[in-house]
Parts: sequence; C-alpha cells; structure tokens
Amino acid sequence: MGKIVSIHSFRGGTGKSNTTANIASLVAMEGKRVGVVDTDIQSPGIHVLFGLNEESMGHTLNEFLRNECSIGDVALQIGENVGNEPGRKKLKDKYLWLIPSSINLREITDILKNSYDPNILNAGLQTLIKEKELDYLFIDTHPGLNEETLLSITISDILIIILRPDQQDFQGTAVTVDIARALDVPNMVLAVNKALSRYDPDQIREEIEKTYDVKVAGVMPLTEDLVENQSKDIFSLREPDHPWSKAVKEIAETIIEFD
Amino acid sequence: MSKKIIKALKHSSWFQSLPDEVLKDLATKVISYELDKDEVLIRKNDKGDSVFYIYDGWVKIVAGDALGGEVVLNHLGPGEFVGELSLVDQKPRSASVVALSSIHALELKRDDFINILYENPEIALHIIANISSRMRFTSTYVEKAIQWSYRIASGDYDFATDEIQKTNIIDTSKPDDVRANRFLDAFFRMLEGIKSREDALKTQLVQLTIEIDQAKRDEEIDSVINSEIFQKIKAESTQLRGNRVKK
Repeated sequence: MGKIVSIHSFRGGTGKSNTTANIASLVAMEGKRVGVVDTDIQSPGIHVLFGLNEESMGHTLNEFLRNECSIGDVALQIGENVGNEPGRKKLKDKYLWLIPSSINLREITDILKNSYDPNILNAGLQTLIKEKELDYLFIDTHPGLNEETLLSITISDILIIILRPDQQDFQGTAVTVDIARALDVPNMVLAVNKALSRYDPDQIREEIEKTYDVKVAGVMPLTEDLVENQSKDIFSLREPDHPWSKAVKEIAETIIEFD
Repeated sequence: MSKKIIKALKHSSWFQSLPDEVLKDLATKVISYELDKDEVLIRKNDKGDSVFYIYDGWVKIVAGDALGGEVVLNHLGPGEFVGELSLVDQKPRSASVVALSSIHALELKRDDFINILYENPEIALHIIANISSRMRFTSTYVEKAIQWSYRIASGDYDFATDEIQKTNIIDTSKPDDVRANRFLDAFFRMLEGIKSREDALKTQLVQLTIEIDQAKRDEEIDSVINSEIFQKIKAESTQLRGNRVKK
C-alpha cells in the first residue's frame, strides 16, 4: 500500500515546492516508486524543478478535475524525460511521476471560479497509487489552511510541515500542528528551511521539538547556492555534498523509515 | 682530511659506486664545511649553483612566515643531500638551511658535478632515484592533504584521531618518516586551530527563542475546527481513509 505524504506550510515562501521535489527525487533514487502531485492549483511551480514548461507539460491536473482525461494521462514519467541538467540526469530510469497543474492563466482562473470536488481529487490520487503501484505519493499543497489542504492532511499517512525559523511561521505552525492532530494524522514531522547561519541547527531542532512535541526531520540552511540554481535543477542531486542537500537527505531518510 | 672526505663520499648513495680514483679526484673538488649549531649553511634566495652533502649532524630547512618568524619545513641528517634540485634547474635557494647541531657538510659546485656526470653517467641513476623517492613522498602527502581537506571542509574532523595514531609508529631513523611526521604535525596543528576557532564561534551563535501567542493560537484553532469545511472533512475522514485501505 502506497503512502501519501503531504507537504504543507502555513505561509508561502518556505521553499515548499523545492523541498518537495528534492525529497521525492531522493526517495526515487532509493529505487522507490514515487508520484508527485502539484495540488497548488492557484500558483503551481514544482514542474519547473523537473524541467517542464507549458509546451512540454501535456495533460494537467486541471483537465482531470474537469473530467476531461484520466489521472494516468496526466502522470508524466520524469525518469524517461530527464533532460541535460546534471542533477536531474541522475533520475534516468527511476520511477518518478509528476502530476502537474496547469500554468495557463485562463485555466487557473477557471478552476478557481468554478472550484472542484475534492472527492474527485482524492479518488484520482487513489487510482494513481494503484495504477502506478506507487510506494509514495507526495502532495505539494497550497500554503495555508483551506478545504484542499485540510483534505490532503486528512488522507495523509505522513505530513511534513515546512517552516522558517521566524515568529510568524512558529505561530502558524502551532495552529497547523493542532489541526493535524485533530484530524488524526498518523505521522507528522517538521522540516525547517532557510535557517540563518547565526543559529545553531542543533539548538533550532531542540527548541522546535520541545515547543511542538513533533520530530524535526531536518534543518536546511539558508543558502545563496540554492538561489543561484534558479529552480532549474534538483539541487540535492546536483550538489549532494552541500549542507542543504544533506539536510534534505535526512528528511527523505526519515520518510522512508516510517512503516 | 682528504681521507675523511673520501670515506664520507663512499657512504653517500650518489657516489658509493664510483671507483676510488674518481672519488679521490672528487674529494679535491668538494669544499668542506664544519659549522656549529645555529650557523647558516644556505641562505634563502642565494644563487643555487651547488649541492650540499650532510655527512655528520642535523640541519633544519627553514622559511620565514608573514610576521618574520621562522617556520621549520624539515629536518635532514647524515647521508642526505640538500639543494640537489638547483643542480638541475639553477634557481635561487627556496629556503634557508641552518645547523641544528655541529655539522660536517661537503659542497659540490654544479660545474664540477656536471664534469663527473659526463665521465660517470651511472651517477645520474642514483640522483634520479633520490629525486624520485622525494617525489613519491611528496605526491603521497599531497594526495592525503587533498583528501583530508575535503573532509575538513565538510566538517568531518574525526579522521584526525586515527591518522595521529598512525604517526606514532613512525621510525625516526628514516628521513622520509621524519619528514612525514613534520607534515602531519603541521597539518593536524592547523586542524586543531580550525576546530578551536569553530568551537569559539559556536558559543557566539544566537540562541533561537520561540514565542507563541497562546490566546491567538486557541482562537485560530477554534475558528478552523468550528468551520463547516473542517466539520465536513472530519466527519468524512474515516470514509476518506477507509476508501484507501479497501483498495
């Protein structure tokens, strides 16, 4: 039975999509069958990390939600379309499917205006797990707490909440953790991103674990190197020895360790 | 004096195979030095046109540091040659050589050396062997240093303990081992420096504090939990998850 892993953050700008793409890629590198769904329909972005643009995208999640195609039609095998970036190239022949959201502005406004039935999305995800025999399905959600994110939290086997070490994120994460507990999420971890070098990562981890009583799976440092990557490649595969990559690797290992 | 010099030359790796008459001739060409402790045998930047053979006592190879202090690069003892590279490349001396004890040394000028080489080409083999062994030594430690530098850069200092233990088995009668020891000593002293500076920096790190407004938190949680959407999802959650298990 494949596991659903939702990646959530209370506010935008935490590096959620980037972290999701990297965790999913590292899990796929371990030989697991992995799917990544971009349910951030309002502001999709994860496709960029896998080298896709509007032309190369094919069918999208939006079409599936409008009942115009099957979820299997949307799933794009990244391992067969790795391109030339040194990091992504390592995914060649790995089992990694991306289910992108449309980046066409008309399609985005269309779905926001008419909304969609979350149950159709849920059914689609179940079909996908079954059809592709997935070990893990990662859901990249829109920031904040709304119907879709509450649904994705509810159906998750593992919830990863990404936060920055700042007071606003601390406050919002406290709410998200409590809501996730109220929804009986079986496994929950926190991942800290953009940690400033003047903080000690071990102290950050200790302090956050004490505050929320939730395991911190990794503390990713703030780094210009990641900005320079401009989301064009999977950074943790491109620079595996970088401290940021090592922290993401730690998160990926934590995910695999859950039974 | 000449006999003593011949005897000394006979003990050197370069000249030991030369016939007696050649050694006798060579002995007339070398300049003999007897220096006391701290006397200078070679000065840095001097013209390099000769090689020195140490046949008694020890010398240190020294360079200056940025503050005008002395950095000891190496120790050399009986049977070793100093400055042999300048016989080939004629470049100025790259470091100074200072006596560590009273020493006896012989100097052979480049022109005389070349003449002997023409008549006894087999000497070249000994010299190449000598230089090769130093090259091998150098490249071994350059490779080690590269490897270690990567580990230090990634914050892994644990290897140092193992490597330091290995240096304890060094045979101090072997010049290469002595050189290795000096290299390792300098490297690990650098490592200690980096570690202690890093530890000092760590204590300067800012402590992260988390403040959560409990009233605001409760209020926000209440508003979510009491919302229609949450109630609907919560009511359906068993079914939503149940669907999965059945499939």
